[in-house]
Amino acid sequence: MNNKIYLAALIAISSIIFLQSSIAVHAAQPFNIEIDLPGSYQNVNPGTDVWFTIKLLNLDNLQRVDVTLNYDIRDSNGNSIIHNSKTVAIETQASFVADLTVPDNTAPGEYSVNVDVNSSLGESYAKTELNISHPEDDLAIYYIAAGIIVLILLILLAVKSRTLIEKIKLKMKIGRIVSKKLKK
Amino acid sequence: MTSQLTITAVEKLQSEITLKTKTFKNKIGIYVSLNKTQKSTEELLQKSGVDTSRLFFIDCVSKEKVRDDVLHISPENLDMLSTAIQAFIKDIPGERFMIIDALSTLLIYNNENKVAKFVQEITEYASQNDVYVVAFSPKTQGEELLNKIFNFFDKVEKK
Repeated sequence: MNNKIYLAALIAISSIIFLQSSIAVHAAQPFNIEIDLPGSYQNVNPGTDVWFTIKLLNLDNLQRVDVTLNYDIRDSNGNSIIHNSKTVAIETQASFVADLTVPDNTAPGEYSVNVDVNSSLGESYAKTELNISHPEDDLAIYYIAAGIIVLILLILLAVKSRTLIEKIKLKMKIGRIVSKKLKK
Repeated sequence: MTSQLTITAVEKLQSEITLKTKTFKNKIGIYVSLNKTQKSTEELLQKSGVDTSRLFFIDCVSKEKVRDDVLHISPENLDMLSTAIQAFIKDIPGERFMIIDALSTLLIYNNENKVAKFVQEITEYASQNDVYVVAFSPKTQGEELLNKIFNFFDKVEKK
């Protein structure tokens, strides 16, 4: 009897920890879903493969059940820009690695990775934020830095050449003074 | 010997300059005027019988352009002053000499190291081109500078 209470408490604590660590989990769903999107994939460029792990937890039903995982990337209006799905069997919990390729023509902005789980038990979903930027945006800081350096060099060159021009003018003037005076 | 530094009392400065300038008979000279304007320097030299028609003046005192054959260069601009001296040396043919009055005046506008570098530059250039350089400095001024530039001159004279 004590063992059963202990097991129940353990399961309850595990569930609470799992729920707290999930990026986006919705209540009253048959499956608890966690999307683990590594930091290196949270800000990507178009054309990049986005890899993530989907963790499913079904603590209520101990029987094996087939589920369809629908996962996609959506823009801020909820429009899907890339979609994929797979059917898997799950008992209590399972993790699946999935990937989606961000289309080349995707505009930069805030997006989300969405996972829908369909099964005979019902539907569950979760999402996590994804930022898509353009390679040009990443390079912008370098372009700005290079621009500033070029500008500084141009200013230095202008100052130097001004001095050089003044010296040349001075030498020419001296040449004229000397030749004029010595001719007299 | 191609260069000489003469350190003298302020009251004797002009007479020493005149005396030295007179010794360069039939030679063409560059006169860097740091102590007086070109006009007053020329007048004083003429009164003492120096033929100033053989002198090219660089006036570092007055900014007012009176004559076309006189250069006015700010004593702050040692780079341009050095360029002008070198250009005169290059353009004047034959035997040449150069007088720099009151070197220490440059200390009013520049730090010692800059002035020392300038002196080194022009004495070297003059030596390479066989131009006799005579620089003057009042006794009481710029002792630190004088200590730094002694070595650039072949002869140092205290009067």
